Amino acid sequence: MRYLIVVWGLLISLSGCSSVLQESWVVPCSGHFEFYPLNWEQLLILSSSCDSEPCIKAIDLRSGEEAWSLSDTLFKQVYYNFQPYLDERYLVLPVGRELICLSPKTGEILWQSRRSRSGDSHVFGDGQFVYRSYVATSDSAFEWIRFDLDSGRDSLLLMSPVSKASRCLMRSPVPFFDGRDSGLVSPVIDYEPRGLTESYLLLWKQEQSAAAVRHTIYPDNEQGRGPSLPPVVAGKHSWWVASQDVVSFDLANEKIVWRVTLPHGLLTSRLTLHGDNLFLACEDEKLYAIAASTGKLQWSSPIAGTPGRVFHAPEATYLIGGSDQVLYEIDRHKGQVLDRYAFQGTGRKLRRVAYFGHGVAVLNDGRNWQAVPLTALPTQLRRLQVPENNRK
Amino acid sequence: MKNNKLLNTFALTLLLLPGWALGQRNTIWLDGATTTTSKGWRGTPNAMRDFYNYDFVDLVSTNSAGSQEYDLSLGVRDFDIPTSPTAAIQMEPMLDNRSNVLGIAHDFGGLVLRELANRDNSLSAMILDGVPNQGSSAVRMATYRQIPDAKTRAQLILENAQSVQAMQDCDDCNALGIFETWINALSTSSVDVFNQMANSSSQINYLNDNPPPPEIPFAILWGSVEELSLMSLMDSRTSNNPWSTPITSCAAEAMERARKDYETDLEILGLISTVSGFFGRALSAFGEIVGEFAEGGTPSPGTVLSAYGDWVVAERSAIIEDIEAQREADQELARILRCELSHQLLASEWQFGLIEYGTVEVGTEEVPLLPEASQALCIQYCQEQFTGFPGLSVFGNCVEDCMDDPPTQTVTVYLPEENDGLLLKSEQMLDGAAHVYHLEEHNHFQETALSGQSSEGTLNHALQELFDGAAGPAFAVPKQ
Repeated sequence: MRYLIVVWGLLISLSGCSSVLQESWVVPCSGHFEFYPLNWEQLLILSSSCDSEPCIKAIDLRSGEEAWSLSDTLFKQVYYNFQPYLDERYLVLPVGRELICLSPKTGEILWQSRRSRSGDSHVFGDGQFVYRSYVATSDSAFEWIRFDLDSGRDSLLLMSPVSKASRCLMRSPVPFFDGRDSGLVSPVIDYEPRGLTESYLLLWKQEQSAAAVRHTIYPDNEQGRGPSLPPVVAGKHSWWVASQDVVSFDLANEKIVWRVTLPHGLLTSRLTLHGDNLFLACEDEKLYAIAASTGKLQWSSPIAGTPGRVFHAPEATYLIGGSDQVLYEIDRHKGQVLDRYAFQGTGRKLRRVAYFGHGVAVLNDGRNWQAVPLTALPTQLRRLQVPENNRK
Repeated sequence: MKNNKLLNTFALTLLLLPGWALGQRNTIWLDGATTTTSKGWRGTPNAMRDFYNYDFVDLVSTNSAGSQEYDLSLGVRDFDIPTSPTAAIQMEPMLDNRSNVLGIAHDFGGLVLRELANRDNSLSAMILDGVPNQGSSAVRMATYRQIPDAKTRAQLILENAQSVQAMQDCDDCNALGIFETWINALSTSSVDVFNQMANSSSQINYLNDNPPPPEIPFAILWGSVEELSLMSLMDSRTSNNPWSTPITSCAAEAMERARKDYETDLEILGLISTVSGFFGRALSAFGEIVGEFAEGGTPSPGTVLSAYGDWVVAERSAIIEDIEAQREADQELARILRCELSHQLLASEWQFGLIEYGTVEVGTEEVPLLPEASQALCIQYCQEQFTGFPGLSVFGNCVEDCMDDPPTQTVTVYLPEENDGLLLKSEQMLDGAAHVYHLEEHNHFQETALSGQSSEGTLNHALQELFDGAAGPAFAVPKQ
């Protein structure tokens, strides 16, 4: 036993090297809105409350000290699972009709754009521009709008006709460089109620032509299905979730590499890539790991339904089961659930939105954000049994 | 530290822009069968529009016809007079040949919505939240009489629980009183919708068989509550805030007071634990009964329930005997224990009444081998682990490990089907759903509970995902 304690102490001190956290900290949540916290250098940018108003705060991950805050009632409109753009100099938030660019270092508003129609809740960028799709005012087309990150100056990149934009979904274009060309790619679903729904990837390459090309990656169907979630793009490789299908699409050669069909799709979680594998936390209460190069299933692991996003820390993979509100720690290589945690005491439940990184878990109980070193999860949270077959 | 204020300079300009409402989506939000099985639903569209800023028109609440509001008492379909107006027929003028209307409904409203989708091409997608798509066995328990003057199953369950109270005054927490009011509302209502939403009703059969399930995309949101689902449901029914727990908190506080009063009396503490653990033991007993019968093949629900009924009778009698043995010394304690036992009995009888119509799930669970990890018990446990003398260090390590990490074993468990207090999981399901979203730890009333100020529950996440298009444009609603 004594040796165990020594080893445990050593483990804590070793893993403490990877954690930036000097002491646990707590920051109030906002009762008005929430989103997955964003990491910028040593800061964590998260939803909070300032004098009862919704605000965004940047918190020093090590100490919990506030670096800056930005308050406005507009933040109430933030969709909790939105996809902002963040790089070394800019943080761009898509909020309904607004696009707001901040300095992640100071919270200063660098520019702000408002259009007559609501834009997509996901934005992507390439260090020079940020891209967002909007319904055109005619309702018969979608627009790709490009915003200059330095000035906020916008320009129309492309207008893509659809049968009726208010019945369609076009996500914001994702920039890529496939080794030869740079370009943009968007998923589009042209929904025809009580008819056949058509969906495709809209692919545009800078070097080739001005015209965008359509590539069908999911069959036409009567259920309005197609690629509706943001993809993972890495070089010429891209991966898409369309209903229950995961599709690997080669952007350079413009062809489908593989397709696998899972028992269920994603709704609240998002596709992630880590190492050689793709990770999908599906609605059938399983986390799947799939080989990114072949689509071969590596393993699946039981989790609770309606899970949150998947986070990959060096130690393990983490996610929160949105329905059981339990934190899962999973061995990324074997798919084994290593541990399950809940808050100590009763009445406090883990919300789906959380952050894992820099050796720290930042968890949310609806009232506060609480930072806990990953190594201290067993002591600061309540450890739950890991059932072999958890009521599946 | 800096505090920046975002400028909303365009707010006024926006209001003056022509065609600002171009992106609005037409929707209809239908609640369920009165406050008896659905309440608070009107707050949900308000929260999604005013708080989360989604841009839609609710064709029901904005209906200019005024008196032609949604009238669910007209039901899904009248088989005696097929030409008589139904709620769906009455709704058609409200749709007014619009296209791409998204329907969102709770409880009985979902059945009306499905009929509306069969009749009218205006609807293009549906979100069915806690809808008795396969009919409700609980409603049947509360409404069905074998002969006209016979008692319903729910009334018999209530009488059983009342007999445990034995005229004690349990009005302080009053779970049985609230349950009685509720089942009376279900069984004596002049509104026929409860009969229509009961399982095997003509209306349910009609919707599921003829015509077949919906042709338009639909998403299912289904709720469930662990264990004392009925008490959770009664909590939400009695309170304006469906997340508050007046009944269960009241009962828990009474038991906690009793525990404090007798914190040094092991016998009474044991009795208190026995009473408060009745439901849990009922689950275990049920599992054991199913397990025993399962070894000889698949048991019929009737056989299992009969054996389970025998267990309840024996267990209840034994506990009441123990309670009465304490009455002379402490009348108040006896009262509290009888009241709590009646709650536990009511909740378990309700839960197991649903089994007749539901399924039993088989799983495994890790359970502790020792009641507590004391040194004495661990020494005993380790002695049993080794046939010969293992050596002091090995034995010592075993004891230390046992105390540090108490041993467990994996057992097979049989669990009754999940439910939201009113509807079983299988009753809320419908084949062909584009998405099935589990609102775990939501009772039937909490499935409607959405206010912008509350972070309770996950209904807001489910609706935000669907409105944002995560399940495709069929369910998407733009932001304002």
